[in-house]
Amino acid sequence: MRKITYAEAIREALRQEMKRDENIFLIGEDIGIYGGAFGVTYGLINEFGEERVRDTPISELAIVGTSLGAAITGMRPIAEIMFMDFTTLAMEQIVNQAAKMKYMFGGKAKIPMVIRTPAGSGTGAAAQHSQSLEAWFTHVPGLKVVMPSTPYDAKGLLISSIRDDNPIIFIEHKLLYKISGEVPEEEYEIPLGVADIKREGEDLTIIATSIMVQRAISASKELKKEGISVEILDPRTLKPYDKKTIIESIKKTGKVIIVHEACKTSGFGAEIAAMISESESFDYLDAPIRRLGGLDIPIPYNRNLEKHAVPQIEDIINATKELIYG
Amino acid sequence: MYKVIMPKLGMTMEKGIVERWLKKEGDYVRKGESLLEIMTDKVTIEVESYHTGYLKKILAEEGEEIPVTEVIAYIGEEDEKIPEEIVRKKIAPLEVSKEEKEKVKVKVGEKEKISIKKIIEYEKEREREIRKGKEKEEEITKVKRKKILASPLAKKLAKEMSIDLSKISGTGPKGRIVKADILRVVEERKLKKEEKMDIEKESSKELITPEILKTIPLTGLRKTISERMSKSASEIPHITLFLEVDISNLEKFKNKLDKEIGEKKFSYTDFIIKATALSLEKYPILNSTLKDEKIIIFKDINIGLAVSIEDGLIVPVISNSNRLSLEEIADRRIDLVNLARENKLKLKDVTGSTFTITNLGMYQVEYFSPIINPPESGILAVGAITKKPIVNKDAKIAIKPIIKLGLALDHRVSDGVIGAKFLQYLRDILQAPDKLI
Amino acid sequence: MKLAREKLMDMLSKMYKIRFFEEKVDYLFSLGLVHGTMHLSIGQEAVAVGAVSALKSDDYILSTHRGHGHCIAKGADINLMMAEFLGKETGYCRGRGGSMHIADIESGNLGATGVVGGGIPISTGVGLSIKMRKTGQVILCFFGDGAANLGAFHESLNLAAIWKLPVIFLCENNMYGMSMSVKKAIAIKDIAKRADSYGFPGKVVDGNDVLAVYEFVLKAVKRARKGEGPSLIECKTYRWKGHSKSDQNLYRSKEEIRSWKKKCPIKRFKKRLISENILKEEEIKMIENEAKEVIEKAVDFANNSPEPSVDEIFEGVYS
Repeated sequence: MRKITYAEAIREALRQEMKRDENIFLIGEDIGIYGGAFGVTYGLINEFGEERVRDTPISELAIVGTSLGAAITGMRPIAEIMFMDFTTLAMEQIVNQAAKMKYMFGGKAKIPMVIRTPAGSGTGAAAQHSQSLEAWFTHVPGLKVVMPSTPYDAKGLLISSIRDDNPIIFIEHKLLYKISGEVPEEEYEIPLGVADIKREGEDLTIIATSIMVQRAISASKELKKEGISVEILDPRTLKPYDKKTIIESIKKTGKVIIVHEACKTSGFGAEIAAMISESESFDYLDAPIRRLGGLDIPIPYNRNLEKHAVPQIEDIINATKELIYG
Repeated sequence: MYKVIMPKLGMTMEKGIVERWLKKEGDYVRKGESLLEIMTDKVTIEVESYHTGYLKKILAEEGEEIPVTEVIAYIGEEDEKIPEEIVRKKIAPLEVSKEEKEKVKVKVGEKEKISIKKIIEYEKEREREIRKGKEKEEEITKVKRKKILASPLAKKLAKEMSIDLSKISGTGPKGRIVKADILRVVEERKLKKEEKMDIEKESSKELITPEILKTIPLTGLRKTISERMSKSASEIPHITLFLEVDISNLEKFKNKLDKEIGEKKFSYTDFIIKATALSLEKYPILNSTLKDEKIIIFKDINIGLAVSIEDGLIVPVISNSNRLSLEEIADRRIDLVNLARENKLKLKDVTGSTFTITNLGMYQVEYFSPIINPPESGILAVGAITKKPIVNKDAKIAIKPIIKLGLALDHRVSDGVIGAKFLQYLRDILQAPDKLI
Repeated sequence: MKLAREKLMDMLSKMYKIRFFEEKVDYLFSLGLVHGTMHLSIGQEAVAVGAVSALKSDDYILSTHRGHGHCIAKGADINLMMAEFLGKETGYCRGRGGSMHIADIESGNLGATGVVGGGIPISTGVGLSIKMRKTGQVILCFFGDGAANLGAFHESLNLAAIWKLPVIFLCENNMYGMSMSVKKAIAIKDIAKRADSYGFPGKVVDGNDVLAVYEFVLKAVKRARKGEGPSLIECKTYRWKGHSKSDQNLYRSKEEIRSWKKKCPIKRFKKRLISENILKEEEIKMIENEAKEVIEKAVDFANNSPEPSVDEIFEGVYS
């Protein structure tokens, strides 16, 4: 199959969906001629024009509010917030308005909107341009949170997100934009809330999100040389998330490591760990649940410090060995 | 007639104080006109009338605190009469549920009167009781809860396979019992079962099941003996050595002593106890215990004496037997045996033995191999005294009283040679009983 | 007066309904029957009715926490409003929204938000949607003087201006943002003046004159429909009651409240209708009584409505 990058997969999903439904439009800062800070929307303005690829002033709150207003009156906006860090500027509209509107209006509003935003460190952009804030959004009923780790998932999940009638936080990763993978040319949907087993294994389950899925895959190759067979599970959607697949995997392996880039304290791993111990899979645990997450520090600038701030391949390998060998 | 109520003016307001009536009874009030002032949360608020008419009756005086929605006045037409039954309900001073009231009634034993004080007392007492109960429960659970480190999966598997986790050692981190440990036990069990099945298979051709007379559950002393002996027999590698001792001299010695005292107080056991104690002084390695890969040799020589009682066997102890006189040993022995038969032994009488003597001589048993009484590392079996022909120094046959001794020792602690030397030494003492004094 | 008699009667009726609705819910609250708080707009009826009367039925409004008036002006079913107020299943929001979140999206009432200024960015989006769908509608966005100091106000008015969106930003200046006097909160005299900095017209209107409000909003609506962009209209008015049910009115004087009560917008409108021989006293009385009856019936409807089922508590979180 044809291989394209994660960024290209997202762009392709946007293009194909915009062609299919004229109510879909893009809105955000520098998404037009500039193509977005990471070039994801590059070229789309030539194809769809300024109306549907709508550059905005630097007004994150208004970008989200405008998307919401358009969504409840029949449009299907896709907003881009240049860095996930900047979602803080739009929190009022995301959390108080978009997430609540349907419920507080007795279920009578339809809110088909997507907020795309890149998260993660590794680019040397330091503390205000490197955060992974997904857990915040999973804590707000009314929002869905999607976090693809491969080009294939990025396309399928984005198409599903665009077609969904709920406000969706679609979290991309800056370091993933350039990775390639097989992606079908035609449109396809990946249902939200369904996890994917990226590698099947017997000895231990690694539940990883976003960039950490890629790191877990690299780690699994090393571990295989030692005869350790790990199963890699990517929830893909954090809200709603696929509890069943997680439970089944743990019933099989009895050991689990949860890896995410976001700070470990109150990270989404805590939710998964708690869910496991509340579920039937608890009785299948043969070792304590292990979490790998970012350190509780703002992302530092220095290359080495930055690397140390979040889990790396070696950390996953070491943690796995500790759990396997005791 | 309209009711004027203490209005709820805030989300959390529960009561308000009527600070001032701005209208008096008989005044005409328009809807929206200020009617009274209410104090709530230390702030005075003007309350407007929701109705138009004449203020017919004020029920709440200035300064009174009234719960929200309670009627505080009536507004009506000029000629409207105030119904007689308009009397403000008294507010119960303390809310007590019906069931609680019943309980209090029973408890206090009064007919209908419920004194608040008593309710409070009763509540307090109940609280104390609840707290006591909780403390007790906590103690019980503390005792119950012996921490066994095991993974949830190991626990689950153990439960399914009826495996007692307290009997398994874990190989996981911090000694945690993990799945692999359970699987090991299961594997072992399977092997045992297979062995057993092989035996059963062979004999099953002409399998005869004996008829059961009675089933006796293993309890109490029997159970303790059973556990201790099987532990000893399975864990301690025993060597048992036998030796015959000519006790003609001892016989004379005993007769002499009996004559001196004028009664048959001494038993041969007393001499053997003393002689054994002295032998242990010479070979202290047999007066020891093996613990955590260490041999601990005791300074005290406390001889335990196996005594048979109705439902089993008990071993009272004669402490410091090496330092006691024969007479003291005899006194103590008589004492202990009587106490044992009467079931009156105290804990101090049966603990601390370092070596045991067991005697079946009175049943004419000549030889037997005793089982060490753990945690000791040696035991002496005493058989019957029989007259036997022996070949003496002069190569002549003589008839002599002979006693048969059997010494079992823990081979982990010492070897056969030590045992043999011990027995020889013991024999020498018994053949020269003057040494016992 | 150019307006048809029926239109004027409808406006008066709506003003009465707002007044009686709010008096009634205030009374229900005092009886302890209302769970939660409420924000009453008694004294501000002319703004809601005047502004919404300038819209067509398929135009949109966005409301605020003090939004009962906007709802009624937009033609909401009083029964469903009252049921929502009392938290009933039959209410506009199935008892999930309450006083602060009454919405009827189908009729163009895009709802009230409890967060001050929360509706302003949304209105920009509605304007954009109208423009992109080319429907010729407009969106009337209510907000208070307090909201005019939020970042959301600035971001949204700017967007609406650069994209020439059909939005009427209607600032109901009732002189206080909770207890903060607008005189202390804003250094300029008129909020309307801020429109200048975004490049569209801003007008100050006497918010207690229903016909003046109507006229100004109508002008803004026409401008919006022609694609000329947004307008800001500041209606100066006054709320008679406290900010909410926790308000003890410590920040304003009785004299001030009394002086504004003399400027009652309903009385003023009534007087004018009589003096211009449009309606007779008896006709007005009939309108008034009819409005009262509607409110009473709504209370009955709400009281006789079922509570929402706990089994359905999750319904409405997601589509």
